[in-house]
Amino acid sequence: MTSKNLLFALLLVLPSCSSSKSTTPATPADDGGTIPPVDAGADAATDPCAGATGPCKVFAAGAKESDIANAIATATTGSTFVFGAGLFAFTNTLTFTAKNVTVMGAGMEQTIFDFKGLVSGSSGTGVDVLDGSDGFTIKNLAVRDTFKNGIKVKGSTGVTFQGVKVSWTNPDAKTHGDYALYPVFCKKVLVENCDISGSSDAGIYVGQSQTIIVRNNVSHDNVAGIEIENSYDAEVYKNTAKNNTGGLLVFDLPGSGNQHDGHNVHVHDNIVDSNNTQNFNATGSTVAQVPAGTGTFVLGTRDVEIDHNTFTNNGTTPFSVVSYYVSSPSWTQSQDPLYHPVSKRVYFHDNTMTGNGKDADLTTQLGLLLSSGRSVYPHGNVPEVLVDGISDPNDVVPSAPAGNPTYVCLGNNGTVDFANLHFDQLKPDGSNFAQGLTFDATAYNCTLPALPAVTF
Amino acid sequence: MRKEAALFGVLALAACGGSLSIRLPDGDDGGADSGGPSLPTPQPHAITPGCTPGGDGSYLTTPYPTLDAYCIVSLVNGTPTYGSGIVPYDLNTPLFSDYAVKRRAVYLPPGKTATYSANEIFEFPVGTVLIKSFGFPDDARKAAPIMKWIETRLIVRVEGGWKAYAYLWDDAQQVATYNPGGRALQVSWIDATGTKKEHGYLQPSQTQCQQCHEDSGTVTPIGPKARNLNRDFAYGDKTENQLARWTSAKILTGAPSDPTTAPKLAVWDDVAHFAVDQRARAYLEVNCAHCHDAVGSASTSGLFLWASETDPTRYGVCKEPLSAGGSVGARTWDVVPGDPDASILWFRMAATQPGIAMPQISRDVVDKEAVALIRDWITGLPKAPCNK
Repeated sequence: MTSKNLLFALLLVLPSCSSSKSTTPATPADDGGTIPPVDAGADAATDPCAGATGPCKVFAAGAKESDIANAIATATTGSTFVFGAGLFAFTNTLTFTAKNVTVMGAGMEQTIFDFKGLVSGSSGTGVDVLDGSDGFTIKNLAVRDTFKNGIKVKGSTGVTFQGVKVSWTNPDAKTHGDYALYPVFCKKVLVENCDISGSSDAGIYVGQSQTIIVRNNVSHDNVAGIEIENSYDAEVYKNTAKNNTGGLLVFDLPGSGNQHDGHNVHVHDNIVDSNNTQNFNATGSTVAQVPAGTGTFVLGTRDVEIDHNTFTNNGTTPFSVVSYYVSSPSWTQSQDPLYHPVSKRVYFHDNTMTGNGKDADLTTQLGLLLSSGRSVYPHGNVPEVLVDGISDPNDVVPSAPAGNPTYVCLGNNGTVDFANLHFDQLKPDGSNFAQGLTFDATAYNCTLPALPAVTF
Repeated sequence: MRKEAALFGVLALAACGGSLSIRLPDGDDGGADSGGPSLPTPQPHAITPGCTPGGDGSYLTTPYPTLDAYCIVSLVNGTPTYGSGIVPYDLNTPLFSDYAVKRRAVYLPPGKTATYSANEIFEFPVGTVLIKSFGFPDDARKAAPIMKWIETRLIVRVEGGWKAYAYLWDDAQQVATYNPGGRALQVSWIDATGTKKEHGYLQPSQTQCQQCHEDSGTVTPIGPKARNLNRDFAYGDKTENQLARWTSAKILTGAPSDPTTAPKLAVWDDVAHFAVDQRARAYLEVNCAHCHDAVGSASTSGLFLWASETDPTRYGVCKEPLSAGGSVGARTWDVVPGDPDASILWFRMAATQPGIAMPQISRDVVDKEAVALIRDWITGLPKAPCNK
């Protein structure tokens, strides 16, 4: 397998040429939760607990943290917690373990959970929902300024985020927490009508989960807008991912303790726009390698359908299908025998792509490499659709078309350029990159069965 | 060198060089201690006469509002003192809790016994209460420092599982009150070198307890495994192996008659008897593996830290984190053999910022001695580069 270590050395001697960082404010998502906003305690005629079938507690702004903490720590099955309009400041993480708990505010602009006072010894996460907290719903409120994650839910079945806003107020984005919404190892996950911004990792991150709907969200100004990782049976639609470093990413990583083999991910009718924010993830992690100007990529995942999306003004590359070797060229199968590093059966069709690939991020290895092919690209810009050309001889895809061993199909995406980057032939110093490029997409003119809608 | 006091009583504590404390500004109720040590009132009896351990038994469904209702533990002259039949115990390698001194004991209902397991938590009968008290000395240089006890946590075996309840001691050290929501506190004390220590101490919320004390969503004790209990303890009458004592006290059945044939975890700071690798792995097991295993709250990390784990990748060697986010300090690998500074595991143990610091819960200060141990361990691993 190739190595790009020398490219890294090249990067060090080049001046930084960052791509443009957009500061356009995003449109807030609709506050579309199904429960009408309530102002707890302000209007005696309105019962803030209306509709609650179990124990219900109401907290108005100014409620003591210890009272809220005691109530949450002793929550029983089916409990509802209603928070009125106003600011609620917390010094410790709110940790949930009971089943069928609902936490609701008076609206994402009205009820604010402020976590900038989290003490050392808290987990750094704002709302932490532990294994087995099935049926957890959080809606119509904002979570602000957590050190780490905004809302994390692990190992639970039936998890709903509706009309939640997560953001950070520190102008230095490097200080922001990691994941805004973080369901992991969950089943039946619904994320809708949320407004997420500022994460130093992923805004909406669904990891190691199954049966997932992510819809009608706006995720902006994060390093990664939306990530579906090591997950299967996911439908991601009608979201807007804009002004992130990378917009909407589908990938699998090795070493997962619980779940490998991400598949059946259907991404449709999304807007992936202007994801050109300079990467502000100040770590050595995988996401720190994502070049600004990345729209969508599929990495190490099989059976992915991406259709009817609009990709606009993503400066480096709007869409690519790649293997894990792109980020980790020296990885070997022995490090994780259960992991499949190569993406397979990816169907990219009926998408609209305009204004992309014009401003590759030259602060990253991949951006530099892609830019180095400019002289031979058909229209001067990085082609809209890229494949890395890496296939796995030990993981043959049945019925794959000749010349298309990973079975990537492209159709009806308008007039777009295609390139096979042939990383399988790339020298470690990248010097033969431009010579290795091929632009003929004929072998990729195929179809794959449509993925079924996700319901639960 | 830090050593959690192994013995029961203030004098013994001081002899072990235990780190101790006092003055506990209370974070929430405006009840901040005005300054000097407040001496606990001497009490003639540990437990109210006539009170039966276990109280009226209703703790199996609802925690008592105050700790005294259990009739199992009280403070006598600043020392946790137990009712009859309750057995104090200690661990080979304990969990670090911001240098708090800890006292542990177990209560089993009369006539009931726990069943030995070589590798897992013993099977305890319904009604069992594991009792752990946390406190700080006023001045660890004193032969008999004045202790300020902050909280006593109970893990109660109920029908179908375990429940965790925490009780917060008042400033007068008379009453401990059920406090499920947890509290962010400040402690002030002087360590064995004479350095004044002032730092936070988070009493975790009842649900937060579960982040450590859980397997796949159910509350689980951490400490009372054969390998961590297999050590001597100085009981009032004699010093004796704990497994043998539990057997002779008829609270444990099935243990090997010869404790040397039972598993034994390394004592993390016992340089004389255990190698660096054994001590480091023991420390990581006790402080990390309750989350970092296949069924713990950090199962999705893929980093599994039981001392028995034999796959180097699983215990972090050249393993990339899966979803550590921005907490890795520009480092790429959990453990880089021979290079602690490049290792995320070491970096996060040495950090205090919430979100970066590991362990995540209730650690405000760095366990310097343990960080040094982990540094030695990583340094001693055969040097090899990790490749992406």
